[in-house]
Amino acid sequence: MINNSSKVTLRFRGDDLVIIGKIHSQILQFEFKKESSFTRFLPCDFYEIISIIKKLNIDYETQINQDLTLPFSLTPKFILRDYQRKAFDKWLKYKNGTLILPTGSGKTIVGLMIIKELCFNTLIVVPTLDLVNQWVSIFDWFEELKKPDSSTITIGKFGGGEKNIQPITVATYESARLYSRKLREKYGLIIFDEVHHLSESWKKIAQSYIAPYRLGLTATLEPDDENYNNIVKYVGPVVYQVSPEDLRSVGAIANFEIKKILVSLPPELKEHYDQEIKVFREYMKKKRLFGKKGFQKLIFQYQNPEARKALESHRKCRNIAFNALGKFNAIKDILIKHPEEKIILFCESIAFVEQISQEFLIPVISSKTSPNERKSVIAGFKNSNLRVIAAGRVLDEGVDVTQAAIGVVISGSAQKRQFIQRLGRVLRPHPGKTVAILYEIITKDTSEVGTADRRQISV
Amino acid sequence: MVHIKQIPMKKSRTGEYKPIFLTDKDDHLLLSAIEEFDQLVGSQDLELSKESIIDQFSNDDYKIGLCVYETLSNQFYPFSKINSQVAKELGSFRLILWNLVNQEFNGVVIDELSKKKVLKKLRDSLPSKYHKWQISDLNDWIFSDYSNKQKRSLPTIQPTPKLVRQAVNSQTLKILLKNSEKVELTIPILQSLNSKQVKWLFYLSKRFGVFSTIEKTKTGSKITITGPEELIGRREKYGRKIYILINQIIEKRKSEAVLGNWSIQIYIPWGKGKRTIFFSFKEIPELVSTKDKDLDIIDFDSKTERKFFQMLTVLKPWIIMREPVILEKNLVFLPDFSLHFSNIPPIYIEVIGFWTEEYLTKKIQKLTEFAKSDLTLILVVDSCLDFPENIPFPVFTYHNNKFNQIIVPFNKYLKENFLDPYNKKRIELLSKNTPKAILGLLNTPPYKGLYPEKMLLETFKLSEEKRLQLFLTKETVKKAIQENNWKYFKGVGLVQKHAYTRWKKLVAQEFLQKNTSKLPLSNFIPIFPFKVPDIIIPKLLRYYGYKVRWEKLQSITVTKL
Repeated sequence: MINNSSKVTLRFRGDDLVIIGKIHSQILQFEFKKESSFTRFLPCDFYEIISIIKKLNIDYETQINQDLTLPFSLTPKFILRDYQRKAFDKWLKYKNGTLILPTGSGKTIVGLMIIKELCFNTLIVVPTLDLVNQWVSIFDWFEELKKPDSSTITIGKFGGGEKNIQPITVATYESARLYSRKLREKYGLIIFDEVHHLSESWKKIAQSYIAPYRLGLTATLEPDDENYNNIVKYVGPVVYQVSPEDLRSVGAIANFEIKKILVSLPPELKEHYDQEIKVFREYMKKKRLFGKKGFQKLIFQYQNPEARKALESHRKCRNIAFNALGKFNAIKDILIKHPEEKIILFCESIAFVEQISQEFLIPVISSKTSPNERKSVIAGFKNSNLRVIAAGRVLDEGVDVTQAAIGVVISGSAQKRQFIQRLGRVLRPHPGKTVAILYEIITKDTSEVGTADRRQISV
Repeated sequence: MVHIKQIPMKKSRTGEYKPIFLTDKDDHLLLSAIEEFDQLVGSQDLELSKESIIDQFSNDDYKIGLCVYETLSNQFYPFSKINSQVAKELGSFRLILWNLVNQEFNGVVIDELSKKKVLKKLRDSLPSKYHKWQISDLNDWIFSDYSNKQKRSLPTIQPTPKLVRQAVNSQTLKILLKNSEKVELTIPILQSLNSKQVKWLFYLSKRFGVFSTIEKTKTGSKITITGPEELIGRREKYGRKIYILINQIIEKRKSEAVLGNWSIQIYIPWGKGKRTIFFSFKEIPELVSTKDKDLDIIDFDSKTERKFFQMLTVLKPWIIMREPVILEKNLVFLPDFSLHFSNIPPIYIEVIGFWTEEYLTKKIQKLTEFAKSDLTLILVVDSCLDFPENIPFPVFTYHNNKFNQIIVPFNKYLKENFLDPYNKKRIELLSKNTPKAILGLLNTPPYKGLYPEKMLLETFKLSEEKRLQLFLTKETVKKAIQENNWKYFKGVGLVQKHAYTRWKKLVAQEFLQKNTSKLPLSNFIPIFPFKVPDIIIPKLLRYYGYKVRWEKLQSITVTKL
């Protein structure tokens, strides 16, 4: 399309933004890709481009909606704590950025205050449907939401079959991505909850929306995380970070202890374990493969029967160590020791967690659990019908179970994030909760010892 | 489930890849793999034999062994499953159990005795059919949908090397197609776009709801099918459809013994680049037949089409046809629906939702070509599409897959542009030449041989509007016949029953009054409202039981018998 006048037109074309007309060199720096007819830009650069256009006094027109002001005001029923106020102020200074706050410290509340302060239409993007519901319910922390004409305000939900778009909407990452064309010009602020999920697939969300203000919330983010660069580029750098230790000292999170319990393998299993680990280690040594990168190289060598054998041996060892029957006795001891407290048992393997469920008649939640059963179990745990629950990875993050005082890591990966998230399940302050304890049950003289060390952070 | 990177392939010198299919030479290996699995039936073992099976094929490619293992594991010897209804019931029983454990033992059971106690309580609280169960059986039952309870089941069909080979090869092709961005079928024989085979191919691809284009090449034709990787949603279903389509093509080609020259190229995203898989149809071995997955069941391309079809069904008086006909100009085009009514030329409808931008661009190109023809086409377009405004067809936009908003304007458009002009023409024709108008409608059995004039025996008294309503279509005429209590008399036509009876009485009265048994026809003419009385009245009088004769000087007499 040829535009012979000096006016430029900004519009969407597919997922991208295109500018029709003569494009100034200062704007070309935002060029994303070039096609035969159009130069394409990312929608997330829309406001920057507009500000350059205005600065250069270029005549422009656009149909893209820029009226993103929230049509109502919010009156909070809460006050921010000191560390929350600091996080809030830091973010407000840049109006783009990521906040790293431990689980249970009230990141969501900071998010709410930012929404209130900025007063823009807001899209909150979360990884799971449970979190959608959690965010929607948390708006109860504001005074009754009413528009100027006294009609009630609804918080929109987008995902899991629901498509209710409102000035404040909570959506899953998946829905925000799939329906980006529908939602992209409706919001001035996007909050990415659990922003460490902003992978290559989901970064499209950050690229496709025009919202000029972005907030990332997470309990864990390291520079060597694979998504770190995406987050810094499309949401903003880390503007505020606080450790669990700092929060513990001010009572923002429960006092906690991390306790390791070592269990032994029975002799026959130990022998089997030793045989298998020898196969694995010998191959790694032979091929001079070391550490995490060495293991990744091993995976790529799978076409080699020897490498396959080594990988298989590694898997068997892991299975033996993580799911050792000796752990049952340790679990039993913990359950006897804490007859009154609310306990969550975390496990990597669904099969093993189901065995625990049958052994001790404890409810289990895993990716296999039906939504109804899961909902009932979590509700039961929250309202004191159920005292102990066992979980696969599904409870690692997101679901709010403030009542839990004891966590038991029966098996876990070496990921720090998983460990911090699990710790976070028991750290949330709750009336009557004095000290939270996170137990780690580790099979001694196995690779699990190293796994546990790698995930442990100094807190 | 086998991943695309686990599919065995060989790289050619030209950089393209060819999938490795199993042949009958592998049958002895397949047989020993089957035997290994036969031994696993009833066990809870998950991966015991994986290496032994993979290693048997490792001389060729370990991936072949992996595919064989996965096929045997998933298709022939899967783990037992609990159906969702039962799983739901088990879940609800477990909730009762957890609550009992919480009430009786504060949330956890540490010893066997306590466990038995709580299971007994559970048994008592369940429906009566469980009351006679053993505790151990109840314990097994209540957790039977847990993964560690599942056992490898006996195959429903005992696998043979041939069956496993077909299943593995089918799986290979299926996974390649499901992960493709694009699939190209090259037909090297010089064929025009009108040729029967190419038409059949294109029609089949439309029937399956896959997006494809056909173009002529220097040496023949090329059909390009958009692959599932290009879509944002519904990839799984779309991928399956492509697989069935290709399978159907292979089966048809084989049945016609014309395999030789067709080839297939599959483009798959691979890491940061792409991988091209190339092989000829000749090289595809026998696959699992997909005939029963076809074809007579109406399946809509998308939920959007299905919903739109539902909307169309409420529009009267239109008859809807799906994917009506292949229209040929310079492009081949198969619209989604057509509307038919009487002798109004068909109105074609194309529903355009969002799939990929490339698809949309091609679609718009096709439509622009079609604008040059004199066909009637209406477009129904998703509102979120960046649809150009200069397409010379009427466009109705829908939002959120909801068509309620367009049903009224759409119906109005059809009425104003098609039905009203049609009715107007009909009225004009009926006024000028009613018989001709009716004849145009009713020139089929069971009205064959009926003179149109005779059908109007009672309609001369009707208003123009009523006449139009009655004689609008075959159906309205049939309906009118039934509702108006008409009867058909051969040689006479349709007569209303009450009129028939009334005239009969009047004829009898005439004979009584004149007190004779023989009267000229002219006496009876005033009784009947016919325009051509000499032809019809005599025949009707015969039905009444009178004798009618042509006398001398062509006068007609009616004699009472």
